[in-house]
Amino acid sequence: MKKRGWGVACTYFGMGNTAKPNPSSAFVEVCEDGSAIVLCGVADIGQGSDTALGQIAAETLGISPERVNVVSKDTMVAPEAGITSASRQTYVSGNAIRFAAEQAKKILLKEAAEYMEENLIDLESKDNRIFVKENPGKYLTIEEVCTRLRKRGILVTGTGTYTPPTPEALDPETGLGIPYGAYSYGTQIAEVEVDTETGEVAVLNLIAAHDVGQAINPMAVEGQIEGGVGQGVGYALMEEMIVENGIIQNPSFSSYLIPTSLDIPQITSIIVEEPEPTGPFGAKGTGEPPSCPTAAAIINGIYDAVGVHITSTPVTAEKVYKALKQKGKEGG
Amino acid sequence: MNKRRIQLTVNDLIREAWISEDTMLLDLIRDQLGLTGAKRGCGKGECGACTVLVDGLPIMSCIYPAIKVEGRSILTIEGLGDQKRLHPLQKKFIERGAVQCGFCTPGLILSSKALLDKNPQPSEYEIRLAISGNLCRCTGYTKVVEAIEASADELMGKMASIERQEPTTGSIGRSVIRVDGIPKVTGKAIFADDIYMPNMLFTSVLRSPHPCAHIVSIDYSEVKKLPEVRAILTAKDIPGSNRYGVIVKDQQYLAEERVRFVGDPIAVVAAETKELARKALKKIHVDYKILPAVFDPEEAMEPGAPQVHQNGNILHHRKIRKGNIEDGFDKADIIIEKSFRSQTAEHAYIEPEAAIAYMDHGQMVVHCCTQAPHYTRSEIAGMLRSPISKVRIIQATTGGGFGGKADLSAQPYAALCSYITGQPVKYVLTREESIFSTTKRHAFNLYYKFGATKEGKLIAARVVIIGNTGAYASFGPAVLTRSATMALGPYDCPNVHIDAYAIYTNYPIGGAMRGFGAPQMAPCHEAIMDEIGRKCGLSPIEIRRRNMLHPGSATVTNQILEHGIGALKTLEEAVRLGWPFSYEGFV
Repeated sequence: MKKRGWGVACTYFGMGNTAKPNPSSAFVEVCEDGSAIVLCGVADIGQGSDTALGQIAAETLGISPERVNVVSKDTMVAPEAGITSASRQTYVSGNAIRFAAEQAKKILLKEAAEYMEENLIDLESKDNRIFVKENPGKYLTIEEVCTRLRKRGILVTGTGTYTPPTPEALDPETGLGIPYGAYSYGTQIAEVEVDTETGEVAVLNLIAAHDVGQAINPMAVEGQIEGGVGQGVGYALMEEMIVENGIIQNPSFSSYLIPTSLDIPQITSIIVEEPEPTGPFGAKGTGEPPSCPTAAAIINGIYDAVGVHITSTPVTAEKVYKALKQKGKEGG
Repeated sequence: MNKRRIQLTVNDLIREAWISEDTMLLDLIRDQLGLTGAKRGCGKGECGACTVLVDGLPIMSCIYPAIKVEGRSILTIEGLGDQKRLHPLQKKFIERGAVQCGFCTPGLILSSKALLDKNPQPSEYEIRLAISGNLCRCTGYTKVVEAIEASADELMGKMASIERQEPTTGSIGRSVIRVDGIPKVTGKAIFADDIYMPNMLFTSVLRSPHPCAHIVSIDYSEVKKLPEVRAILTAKDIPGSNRYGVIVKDQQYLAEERVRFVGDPIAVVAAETKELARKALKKIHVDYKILPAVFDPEEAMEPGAPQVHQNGNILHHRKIRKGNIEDGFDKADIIIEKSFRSQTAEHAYIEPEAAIAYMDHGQMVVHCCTQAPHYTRSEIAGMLRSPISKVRIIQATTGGGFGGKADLSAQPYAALCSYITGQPVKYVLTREESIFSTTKRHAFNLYYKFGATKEGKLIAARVVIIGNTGAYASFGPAVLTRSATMALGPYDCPNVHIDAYAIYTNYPIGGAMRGFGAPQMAPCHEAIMDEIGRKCGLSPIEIRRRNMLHPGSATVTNQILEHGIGALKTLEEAVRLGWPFSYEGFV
């Protein structure tokens, strides 16, 4: 018989390295045509940081994202931005880039204010223009401002660094302190079907709602959620490195199985935005949290379906089958 | 070996190639024709990254003998479309966010092309079936399937609807198309193994077959006689420091006296071809004295257990003591105790570790896949006794990492061999070598005890976490510290007592993997929360709502949360879409 169940699981996750400085740095140069180069040594390993960090620089400067070029890949060019880990790059390096871009923007605004005979605070930079907030018809293009600055011998650059506000290490005896500058949160619900004859578990639907502060690039955030859930499904049901006497027994994709397109359920990702004031434009990190609660949601769903609690991962059909047998014995 | 010349059509051009009986099609198209869009992920026809079309049918070119393609027509990703004329599949993969690291992308696109050629309107199941031989570790396949559906529609002349409601000005909150999308869908993105240099040498590393042994002697005199071998190096050939590690420098590039896990490196060879480098390893004779090993972390904590390193097997002990735990349990109406085991897991990025190193004007340059270019720079400089400012790490397009590429892997061996020989040196790990030698997600033994009031309020939590960190520290201390801080999930609890241990054993190395100690914890705290709910007559949603962190809550480490706490909102949103039962608790 096949039985359905629903399981819920929640997670929270601190951004950046635990209770220690993990600084990032960035340089921004605004070119004479108003386009910008961002130097920041963030390794983009597929998550899309080159794109999202460019959006942060573009928003800060008020230029279109297509006019920003993020150069991240060369330690001889891009300054240190720490490791791509701990879900930290949007939050930490995003801030470093924002500060660098703000410094460059100050130069632009000051020049525009002087030329337009306006107060600095009355100006805004957006869509490649600097304009008077109350009178958007009065504007200069950023290219015009750069050209004017250049004629006066001024180049538009900025530098920024950021490390999360984790003032001191955790107390060695009590562990108390401030380990992270910000946290992200998530809830996942798994709909599972358990075959009571074989113990096989199929995940039919997976709903994943994650609080990312502010999605800089929603499609990329969804990609992180779906990919994290995909890895979570593999971790929950399939994946195990078998080690005997220290020797890995399954060192290949035919013996260490990871999910194929047929193993992954329909994933519905929901972006929740509770802005984080210390993050760039309210953003927090999204890389890791989606893979944290998936196994838990599936395990709770199995309990809901058939009333057995599996206490080790991966949850193989064999473990479920044995647990069902045991339950049958105890019940009868 | 006998070589013969064959003719074949590749991307509509007639090409010639020299092949022998054991030449595989992937070798031919990458090494001879210079088409590097097809990738080598496993070398065994298991991952699909090498997929190309032969007379329109998808095949795994890494195990497809080149001799079989004589006179036939091959389509690689480079022939499907280019920057100016993208095929609809290439376009939709970018537009729909189906591309992340890009390593599996060419294979996925070509399998999809073969499908749509014979079945222009496939069902979702038919799509999933057609790409089930193409492993992707980044996307969860959701957007891949959507992209294929959208391209099928476009090829049939249907206009796809655009559903996203996003701001039209500014840059934030917009699904800007990824900057590396076009190179990744056209096969132009350059991963480290796609870089070929004149006079390039290939590396292979001799690794320990024993989990714990003393190295009595290493005899490589036979290797020295091989003219194709340009270097055979052991620990004594390292000019600078032979110690590295991101938190504790307890690892050696090449073992000096002792090996501590199966896969520990001992010697490195640089030779003119990959095959010669691998063959040369077989001529190295190492005399080992086998030592007792320990694999179970709880055994390793016992007095008298074999010592993996000199300072004892407890690498790290993180304590958390908040409130008064005894008092908490005294006041609890409900107490639940459970123990759990989590497994050792592999990152399984589809791109194996790769690096190519060369000297340029006295500077060491290393192109590699990595999550940590600046950390790598610092270690390579130490190894070569060079100023950090004269080591240059260039991150090649990186085919996924998930924590596994935050440590060193191929880089130091390519750099060392290049430094010694003066020639460019490439080192690409085989899949097997990658799995044997690189870090894993820690296996945890977990002991939980939660106490709650009959109203379902969590008031006491005692947790013991024992993490098998394997032979070297890697990120182990940090993983266990994070697991302690994440041990309760997003719930408020006044009395907490946690002990998290990172334990050295002769197991494969436990390191960073997506979630960093948190995925192991969730099945424990979440199952117990459900059980407390059942005992109190509360639904899984209600028990969570009552305990959820909120503004003003103190976390396990007594950090007062003030802002940006979307915990309850995520519960509410997930319930709204995914909970089949009625729930009225949200206001």
